[in-house]
Amino acid sequence: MRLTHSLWKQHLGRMAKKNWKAHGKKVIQESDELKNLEQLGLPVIDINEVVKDMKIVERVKEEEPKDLKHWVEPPPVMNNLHPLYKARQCYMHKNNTVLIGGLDQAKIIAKAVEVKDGLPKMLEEKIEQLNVADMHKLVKRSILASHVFDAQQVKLPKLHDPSRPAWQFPRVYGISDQRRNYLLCEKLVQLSNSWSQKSSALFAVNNGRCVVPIEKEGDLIQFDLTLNMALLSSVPHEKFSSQEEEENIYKIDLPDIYPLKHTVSCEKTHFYESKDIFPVNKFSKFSHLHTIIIHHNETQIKNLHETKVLEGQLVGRCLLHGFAAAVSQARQLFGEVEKELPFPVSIQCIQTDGRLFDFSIFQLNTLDLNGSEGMKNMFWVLPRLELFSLCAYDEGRPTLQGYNPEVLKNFMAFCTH
Amino acid sequence: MMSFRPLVTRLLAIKSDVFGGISRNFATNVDLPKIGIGVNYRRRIKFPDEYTVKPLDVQNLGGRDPVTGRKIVNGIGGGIKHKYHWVDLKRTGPKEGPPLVEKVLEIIVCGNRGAHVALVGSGDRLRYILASENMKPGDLIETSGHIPRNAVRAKEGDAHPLAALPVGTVVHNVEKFPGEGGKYGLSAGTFCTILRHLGDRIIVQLSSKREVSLARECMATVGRVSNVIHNQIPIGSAQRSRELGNRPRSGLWQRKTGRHGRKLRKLPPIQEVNKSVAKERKTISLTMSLS
Repeated sequence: MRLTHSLWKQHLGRMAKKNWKAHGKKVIQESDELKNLEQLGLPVIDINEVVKDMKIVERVKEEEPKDLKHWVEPPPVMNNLHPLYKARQCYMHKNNTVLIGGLDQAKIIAKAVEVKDGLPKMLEEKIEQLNVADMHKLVKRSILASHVFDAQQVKLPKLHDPSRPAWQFPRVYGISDQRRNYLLCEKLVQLSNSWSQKSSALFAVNNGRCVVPIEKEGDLIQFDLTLNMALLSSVPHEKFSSQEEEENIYKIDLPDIYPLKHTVSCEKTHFYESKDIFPVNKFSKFSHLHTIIIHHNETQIKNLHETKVLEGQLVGRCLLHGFAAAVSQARQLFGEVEKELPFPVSIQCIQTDGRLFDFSIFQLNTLDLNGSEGMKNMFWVLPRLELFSLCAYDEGRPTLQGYNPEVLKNFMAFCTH
Repeated sequence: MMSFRPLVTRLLAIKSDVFGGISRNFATNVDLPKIGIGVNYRRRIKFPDEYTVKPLDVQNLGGRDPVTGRKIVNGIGGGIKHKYHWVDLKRTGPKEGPPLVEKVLEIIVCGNRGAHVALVGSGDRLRYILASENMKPGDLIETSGHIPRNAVRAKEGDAHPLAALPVGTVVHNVEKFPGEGGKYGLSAGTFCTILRHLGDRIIVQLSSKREVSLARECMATVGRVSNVIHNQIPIGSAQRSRELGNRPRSGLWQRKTGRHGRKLRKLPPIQEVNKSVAKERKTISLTMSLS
């Protein structure tokens, strides 16, 4: 005889729970009862209508006391009450912006045409005559110093092989692109200064800020650029263009980027301050921009859609830097100019990423940027030059391969013009 | 110790399926959502307020419901994170006047889908669209909402309403309801075919060979979706499968049960796609909580 409780074979509790779960959800089916009542003439009133006026007194929740010790001001709301809000939209062009339309789009914005392949004639002649044979050794030393020997050790961007997406490369340490570009340019400018026999030296400004708003076809475009190195002189450049080139302006058309507009890929914003900033004080002795050197830092300059930045986009960036610097200079010299300038303002522009060099010259003839007729501005650019092909530690040894002497010649010519 | 879970759920290893959400534990009273109705359990993207062409950061979900955080689907997890390109599936064009012309700027391989993505620009605006089969940078594509009397000559990449395109046209990115963005023919290499006109409806054959009846004004893009060979490329290795975000799976395959393998079924009748006016039905939930 069993003296203990008999155990159930099935756990009835589980069955009960499943039953509640399965039958617990009831969908209220619409029946014809209400219709029948109305037909009989009996009033049907919705209970919610009756209860509508009854107020449920809710208990007032006590506000939790603010922790004032750790109170942080909330970030400003970006609406029309923001101090920087403007009703008119502005297309911002920052230092690291590259245009999707590349050089063509930049030419349309600046209303500039390339009147000649390569640099202006007088500069080409000067470059040919330059004899800088004894400087190449020093330049090679400078390249190695800026690319390999500098003491800075920071994490460089992760290496990525698209054909092996899962592979994690060992992390690379070295000199950052900003420092490398700064060191190289600083050295090259110093060398050209010491080599040149000119009595009038150039005044160098590092990371000068240039802010200039322009109006083009009803759009407000604001340039906010950093001129990584600006060389200033006491006298302005003479115009680079020849008579023939000036006549050619009217024959060459601006490029067509249909169906894109000249403001595509520019950042649009309603929060800005429209101002004019020139890197140097108006009353200083050296207030004429002679040459600007801008750095192409790969880690900072990216497309918005994060695909590779193309050569045309970088040359366009060079053009717009030259253009903005020239406009800022013109405004400083002549005040608010709308149309043709009394004399053209020319800026020499060098863009580098430490290895590849773009040499260009921008001549601002007019500030009337609307349409494609009439006087235009001028732009000369050399095809890209490689300073070297390899400068790194190769099998433990610091190596410099493929040094190109042309780059130094052009650089010296620009700085000593 | 022998688990009390039914054999069926153990074998299939799917938490929420056609049986209507059997939870992992009989003690918990949890209704898991159904899979296959459009919720993404692989990844979650934080979309900003305004449309942008900047690739967005992706958060892997690992088979979990984005709202509740509960595991819904097994076999999903890990994988290489690819930035998300916000594709605009709405090809809206002017109903009268010249069509909207856009220029194809770049064709981008997108890691979050089989199809390629095209960066297109018009005026000030840049956006991503699904690239069609033969699209290349520099092409000009048109979008028009106008339905002319005679059918338009279809050019690949152009978007027109279904009624404007000739019968037999191969299209993709077909809208289900006018103005709501493309729903059919979005995967790599897929396409729909315009079969015939039936009154004021247009019969379209989908890529699954099902036929569907759609409104005349539904937009469709001419051509096939890009990356046509996508479904012919085998994954190749277990490692590659893990890179795609698939966790190791055990497929107990049994011969002759009638359950596994490809099924050849009759096509269902033409589905007329209409917005159903669903009656609002109230539900009450009965519980045994003794509080």
